[in-house]
Amino acid sequence: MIRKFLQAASVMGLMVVAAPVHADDPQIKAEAQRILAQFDNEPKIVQVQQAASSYARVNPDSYDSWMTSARLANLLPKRLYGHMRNTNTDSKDLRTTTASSGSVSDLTSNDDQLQLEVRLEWDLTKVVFNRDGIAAARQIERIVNQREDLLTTVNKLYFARRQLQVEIALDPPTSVDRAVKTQLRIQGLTADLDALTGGWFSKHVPKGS
Amino acid sequence: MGRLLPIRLVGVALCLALSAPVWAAEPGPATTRASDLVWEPIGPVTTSAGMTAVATDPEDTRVIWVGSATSVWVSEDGGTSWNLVLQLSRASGLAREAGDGGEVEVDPDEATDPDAPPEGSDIFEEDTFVDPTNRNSRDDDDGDDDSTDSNSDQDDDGSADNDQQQRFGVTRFRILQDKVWVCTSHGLWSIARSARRTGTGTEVRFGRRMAVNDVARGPDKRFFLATERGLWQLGDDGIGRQLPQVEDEVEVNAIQVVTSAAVADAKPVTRIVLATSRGLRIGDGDRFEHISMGAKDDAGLDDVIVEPNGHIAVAGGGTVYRMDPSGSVVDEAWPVPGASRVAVGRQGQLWTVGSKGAWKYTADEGWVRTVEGLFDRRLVDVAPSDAGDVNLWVVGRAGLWRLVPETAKVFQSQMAALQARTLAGYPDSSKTVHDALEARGVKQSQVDSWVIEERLAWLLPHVFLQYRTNRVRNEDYVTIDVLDRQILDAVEVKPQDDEFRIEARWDLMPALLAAINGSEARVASTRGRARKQQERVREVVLPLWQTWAKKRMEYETNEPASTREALRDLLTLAKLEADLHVYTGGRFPVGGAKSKNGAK
Repeated sequence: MIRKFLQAASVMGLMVVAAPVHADDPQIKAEAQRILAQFDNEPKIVQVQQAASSYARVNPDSYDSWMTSARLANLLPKRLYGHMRNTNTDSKDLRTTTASSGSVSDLTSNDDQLQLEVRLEWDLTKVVFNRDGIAAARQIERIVNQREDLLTTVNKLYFARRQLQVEIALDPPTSVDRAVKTQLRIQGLTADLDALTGGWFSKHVPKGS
Repeated sequence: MGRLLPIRLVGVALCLALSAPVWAAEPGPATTRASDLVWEPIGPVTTSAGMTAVATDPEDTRVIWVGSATSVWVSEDGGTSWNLVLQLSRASGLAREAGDGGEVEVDPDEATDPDAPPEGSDIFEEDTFVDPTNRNSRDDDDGDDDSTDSNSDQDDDGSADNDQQQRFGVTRFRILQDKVWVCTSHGLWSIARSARRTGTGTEVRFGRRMAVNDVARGPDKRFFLATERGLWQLGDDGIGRQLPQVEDEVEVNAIQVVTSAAVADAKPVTRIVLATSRGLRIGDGDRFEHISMGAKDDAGLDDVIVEPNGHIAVAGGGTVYRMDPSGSVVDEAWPVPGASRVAVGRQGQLWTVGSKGAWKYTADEGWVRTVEGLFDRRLVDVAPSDAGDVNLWVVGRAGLWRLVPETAKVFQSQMAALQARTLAGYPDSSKTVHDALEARGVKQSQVDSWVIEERLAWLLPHVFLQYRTNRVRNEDYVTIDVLDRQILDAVEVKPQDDEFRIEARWDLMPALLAAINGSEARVASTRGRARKQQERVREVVLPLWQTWAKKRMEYETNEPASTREALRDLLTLAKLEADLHVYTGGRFPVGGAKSKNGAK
C-alpha cells in the first residue's frame, strides 16, 4: 500500500516537475503558469462552486425571482367569490276572469328565481407595499449567507488541495512517509469537496490526479 | 530598489483606488482633515490586513515594528521595505523560528495538525490569505429579531471585532534598552533591537499560556509585567512572581513609569501607573492605590502614557482621561468613541485610536476625528513618528497606515496609469462592492423605498368588484274547466335587479400608525439588518478587493524570485478572485474567465 503511494507520488512528481528554475530566470512566471497548467484537466473552481451551490440548493437562480413574484402576486384578486342561488317561491296567483261566454279561470304561477353573483376583491395597497417582500428578503439573506459560507469553504478546500499538488510538483516526496502523508491529505481534501458537491468533484477529477 | 519602487507605487495607488466614493462619510461627530493630513495604507507586502500592534523606535522613528496575529516585521526606512523578524504559531503560541538563532520550539501538536502546511513548504504563509470569512458568526436562521440576535458579530462600538482581533498574536511592543519586548496573547518574547531578520527572537520563559499586555522597567531596575492575571515581576532568574498587593486576577493592560520633577531639595519620585480592567492604580512597585476616576471608577482602561508636559493620559472604554502629573487628580475626562490607545503626536498633540478611528485633540476644537483616506476605522494601536513626512502610525483590521501630508498625492497620475494598466478589465472597488451589495438579499435602498411605499400605500384602496344578476321565470297557465286541466299559456324569463358594483375602501389606520409610530417594526428591523449587511460587505469585500488589487499589482510589476514564489502569488490571486466571485454573486471574473456580467 505504502509502496503504491510512493509510486503514485513519484510518478506524479516526474510528470509535472520541471527542471529547477534559476531565481534570475525571466521565465519564472511562465514556468509557474506551466506547472499550474498541469491541473487544467481538473474542474475549475467556478465549476466546483456551481456544483456545491446546486447540491446545497443555494443557487442564486432559485431565489432571484422571489421579490418580483411577491410583488406581482398582488395583481391577482385577493379574494374571488361566486354565488348562485335558485329559489322556488311557489307563489301562486289565482285570477278568475268572467266573460259573457262563460267563466274562465287563469292561474299564474311565479316560480324559480335564479340569482348569480360574482365578487372580486383586490388589496391595491399591497401592490405598492407588500410585507411578503420583506419576508422574501429575509429568507434570501439567509440563503445568501449560507451560500457564502459554503462556497468560501469550498474555495479554501480547493486551493489547499491545489497547494499540495503544486508542492508535490515542485518538490516530489523523497520518503515513503512524506508521500503517504501528502497523498492522504490530498485524498482527504478531495473527500471534503465531494461531501460538499454530492460526489460531483471526484467524478470530474481525472483518475490518477 | 527596483523592487521597492513598485511596492511604494502600489501603496499610493491603493490609496487612490480606495479614495473612490464607495462609501459616503458616515454621520456623526466632527470628522475633518487635520491640516491636510491623510492616511496612507502601507505595510509588509505579504500581509495586508489584521495588524495588531505598532511601535516606533523612540531614538529613530524611521524604525517601525509591526505585529500581526502570527508575525513581527521591522522597517528601518520609514515603511518602504520590511523584514520579517519573528513568526509565531497561532495555534499554540509557540514560535517557529525561521532563522538559525534563538530558541526553536516545536509544537508537538503541529505534526498532526491537518491544516498545517506541508513539510518544507513556504508557498503559503498563514498571513498570506486574508480570510474575511473567518467571521465569528453568521446570522442565524431562526428568524429572530436583530435586537436578540446573539450572532451579531459587532456591537455598537465595534468592540467585539477588536476583541477577536486582539485575542491572537502581538498586542503591544515595548522598546527598552537593547531589546524589543513583544507582548502576545500567549506569553512574552524579546527581539534584539537591532534585529532585521529572523533569528534573534527569544521566548521569555514566563506565562507561555498567559496574555502579557505590557512590560516596564521600574525603579531599582525591577522588571514588571502587565498580564491578564495581574501584575507580575520578572526576576533575574527568569521566574515570574505575582505581586500580591494588586488585586488578584485584575487584568493589567498597560504600565507606565512616571518620574515627577524634582522640587526644591526633594528627590524626584518615581511611580508606576497601571491601567487595569478595573480602573487606574498608582504605586511604587510594592503597593498600589486605586485612583478615583469619577463616575467611571472601575472603568476598564487600555492604555496609559506620559505627555511631554508631565500629564498622564489614560484611555479606555471610550473615554480619554488627562490626569495631573502626580496621577492622583483627573483634570479632564473626554468621551471619545471607541478610544483605547493613546499617543503624543508630532506637535505634542494628544491622539487616540480605537474602534471608531483616529482622533486628535486640540485646545480649540477638542477631539476631532481624522479619517481621511482611512477605509477601515477599526484601529487597535498607534505609534508616534517624526521621521520624514510621517506624523503617526496606526494599525487595525485593514492593516498598517501612516498619516502623511496630502502632497503625497503628486504621484496620482503615475499611480492611476499603473493601476489602469494592471487592473484593466477587472471591476474596480466601487463596482465590486456594488456587485456584492446587489448579491445580498436586501439593500438599504430597497428598505428606503419600502418605507416610502409603506407610507403611501394607504392612498390606494381595497377594491371590491361585484356583479349580481337575478332571473325570474314566470309561467302562466290557463285552466280550462271543461277539460279540468291547466295548459301552459306563456313563459317569461326576465332579469330583475341586475347589479354591477365597484366599491373602493380606504384604510386610514396604517397612515395614522405610520404618522404616530414611524415605520412598521418589521421594516425598521429589516433596515437594521440591511445596514448590517452593508457594513458586512464593507468589512469583507472591500479589504478583500484591496488585498487582491495590491497582490495583482505586485505580481504584475515585480519579477518573483523563484517559481515557488510565483506559484504562491498565482494561487493567492486565484483564491482571492474565487472569494470575490462568491461575494459578488458570480460577477467578479475568476482566472480571466468571463464573469456573469461580462466583465473581463
